[in-house]
Amino acid sequence: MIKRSFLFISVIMGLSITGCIKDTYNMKMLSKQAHLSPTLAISAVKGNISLSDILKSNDTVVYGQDKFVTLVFKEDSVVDLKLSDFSKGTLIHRTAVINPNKFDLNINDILSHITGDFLISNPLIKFNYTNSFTDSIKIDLNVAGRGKDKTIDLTLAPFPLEKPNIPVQQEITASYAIDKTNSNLPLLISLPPEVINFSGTATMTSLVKSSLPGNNALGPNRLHGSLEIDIPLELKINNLQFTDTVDNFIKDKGNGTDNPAKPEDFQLLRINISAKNGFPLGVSMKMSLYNSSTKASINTVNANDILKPAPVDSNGKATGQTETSTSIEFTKEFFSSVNNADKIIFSFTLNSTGNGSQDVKIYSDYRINFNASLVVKPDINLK
Amino acid sequence: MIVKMKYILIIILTFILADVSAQNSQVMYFMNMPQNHLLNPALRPSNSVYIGLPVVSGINLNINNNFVNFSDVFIKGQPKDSIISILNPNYNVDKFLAKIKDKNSIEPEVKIQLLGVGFSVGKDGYVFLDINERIDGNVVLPGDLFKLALKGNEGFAGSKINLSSLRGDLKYYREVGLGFSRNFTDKLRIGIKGKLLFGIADASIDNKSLAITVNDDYSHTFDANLAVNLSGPVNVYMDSKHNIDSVVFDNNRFKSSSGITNFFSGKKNMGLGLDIGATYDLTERLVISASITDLGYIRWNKDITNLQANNQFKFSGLNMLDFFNGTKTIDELGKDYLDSLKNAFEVSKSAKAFTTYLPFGISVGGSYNVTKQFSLGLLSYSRIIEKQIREALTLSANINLGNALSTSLSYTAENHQYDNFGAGLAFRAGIAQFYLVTDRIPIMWNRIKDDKTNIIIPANWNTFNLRLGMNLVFGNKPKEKNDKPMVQVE
Repeated sequence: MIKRSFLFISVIMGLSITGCIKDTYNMKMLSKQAHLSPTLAISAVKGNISLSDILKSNDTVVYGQDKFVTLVFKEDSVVDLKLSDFSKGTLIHRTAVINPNKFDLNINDILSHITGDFLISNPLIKFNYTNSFTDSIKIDLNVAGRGKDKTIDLTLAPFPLEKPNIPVQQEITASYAIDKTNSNLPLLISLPPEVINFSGTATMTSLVKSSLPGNNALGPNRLHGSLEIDIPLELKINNLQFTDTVDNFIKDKGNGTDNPAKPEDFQLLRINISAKNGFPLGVSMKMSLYNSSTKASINTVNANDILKPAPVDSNGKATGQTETSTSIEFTKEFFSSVNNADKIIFSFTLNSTGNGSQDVKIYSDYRINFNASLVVKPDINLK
Repeated sequence: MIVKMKYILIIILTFILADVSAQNSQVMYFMNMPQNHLLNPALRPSNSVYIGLPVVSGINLNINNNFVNFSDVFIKGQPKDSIISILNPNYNVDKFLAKIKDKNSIEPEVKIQLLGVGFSVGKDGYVFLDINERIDGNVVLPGDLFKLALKGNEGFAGSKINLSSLRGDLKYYREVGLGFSRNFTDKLRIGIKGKLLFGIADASIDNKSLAITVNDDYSHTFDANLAVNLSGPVNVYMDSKHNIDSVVFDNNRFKSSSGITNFFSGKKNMGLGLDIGATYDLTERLVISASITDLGYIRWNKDITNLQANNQFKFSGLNMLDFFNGTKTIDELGKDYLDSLKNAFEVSKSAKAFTTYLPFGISVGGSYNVTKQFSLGLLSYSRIIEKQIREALTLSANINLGNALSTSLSYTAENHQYDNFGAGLAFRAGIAQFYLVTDRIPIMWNRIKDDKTNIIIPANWNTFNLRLGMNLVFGNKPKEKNDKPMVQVE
């Protein structure tokens, strides 16, 4: 019996032995590399937003009844003249000086990053005044806008003020409009100006040659005026670039930082943007890794036409939405060169419909519907 | 020691990574052994009495999976003879995923016979009693889960990550079975075994639906309706936001002997089981048989934790309108996002009794006795685990020299694997019967070596099945055909 058993076991063993060695695995040669690189995609941000959703109408941003957008800047007491101020000149032509002043729009920081063509088509300056002088007064206003690298004069001819109808009217409140028909205002506004300087004179002409000017001696007459700059957002933009340089925030800061993600841990980062743009403005973006020592761009990511401008009618009003799908891809090469750059330069380029060939108007109910998703392929080192 | 442990782990991995099958010691079915009543209660050995000693009488180990093998995890790379693992960047993950199925199973099973007794009753009756410790596991991992882990979710854009096939059940229970078989006619023999089941611990997933829809814009819709049921010495703690805070094993109950006894008694988690089978002699040489084994359930009442997730949630990115109109800051939006993501996986906890069902087997076989000692057998074995069916067809050649020596060589065809040669051996030395059975003998081998070790492991071991043990057998003298009973019972 035992013999039979051994016989059977021998058969079993024989089967095993006759089975051949298929492969030899020398575990000394086992690669220590252990990585996981799934491609993860997730919807990051979305929005269906109109201008009025993000910016409520106020003293500066005004939405008209038709929802057309106008920017309004006001400067009070630009002119405040009393009879005693008219001291220069002859008895018939007395002149008062409007003291130099300036209108600071506080946009010099933005302007320092902007290049390109930009034209506001129909700006308007209203000189609003209250006048109680009965003699004729003519204002010669010198206005100059100082942009980033040039200055433009308004080249406004002297203009007369209305006067009260004595005795039924003691003073008159009126307005004088300065626009593209009587000045260089569109060019001045489209500089765009950091500061608007203004000065000038007011000249009073008396009809009666006497030591005292007309009826003005009868009371404490005064001329008080203010400026209101209206910028209707009717414009043309051709390759207007906003460029900003920031410290390289992606760079691995080395020891001492608790950020577990390092640039080299990514094989790919892609931002997919899809949008339906109801604004007649298009946007492109460029991002460059920059080494300030060598003054060289190391790697550049281009994202053309993140938003394409909406079509417009002959009046410049958008008539629909333009759909775009854009991918901004940051490759492994990008991430491998991140640590060689100390700066990142962002550049945004704006174009209005037709690349600035026609006026477009901005309305508060234009909408942009966008969705941005992130696709990340991390290189997770499991070793 | 560390080197040895490493290779022990490799071997365990190999077994775990073997393809799943329905193998269940089919080789044993046509052998003359007391344990073959575990496959069909109508079967009985030729000896009149057997006693299975605690533990040594039978150990059965099955570890299977149906989706990956050792050689899928480690492959030859470049330069020549270098080896790369599945986590190496040079590994072709797509090739691996091509082998992954929709439902990928891992099914460990351990059965230790604590006590086995069988004895003849009357003319042809046979009574048997078994007490077995059993650990049964079956886990199904959806194919999409592997794709998600290895390739990410981008490839699912416009489709659904279907995890509804995710399933798992790991149960530890004691089976006390009392069976009886007898001839009902000259040709028909029927056996039946009733079982009391004492559940000791269980962890199972009741998955009604689990899916993540990935839209083209990468917004995600989560749909979960599943429960994890636990019966065992663990405490699950939840935080105030209904998220699982921690899971702690309860050591305290094992600090006293009464606590240990109480735990292992399984008296509060009772269940019932049934094996039923029959054999029919079509001719003197041709016998057909069939059985259903392991029909049963366990009702789990003790140490219950039910974790239920029933949520639908859509994430489509931060709504920037809230930010632009000044309602919320970016930080607040991010916090809202994380909160909503957590809420998507909000879990409720309860302690309701639950029921698990045993995977059951259906055997249909036939044997042809070429000679008195030599037979050929054909056996179909199907294992049904919830909605999944495993099928195996075994052809065997069997030599039974009484119960002195019983051997079997088998070939099994099952789920896409056709190189399963198995063997069984049982021999008796006096009253001691030893047996060793395996359903698959690997033909191709891989050699694993380094400086200190040189071992071989199966190259493509698509299942690991081993049953071995020792019985005490009595009444081994075969009856002569002309023997007449001393007392004729009418």
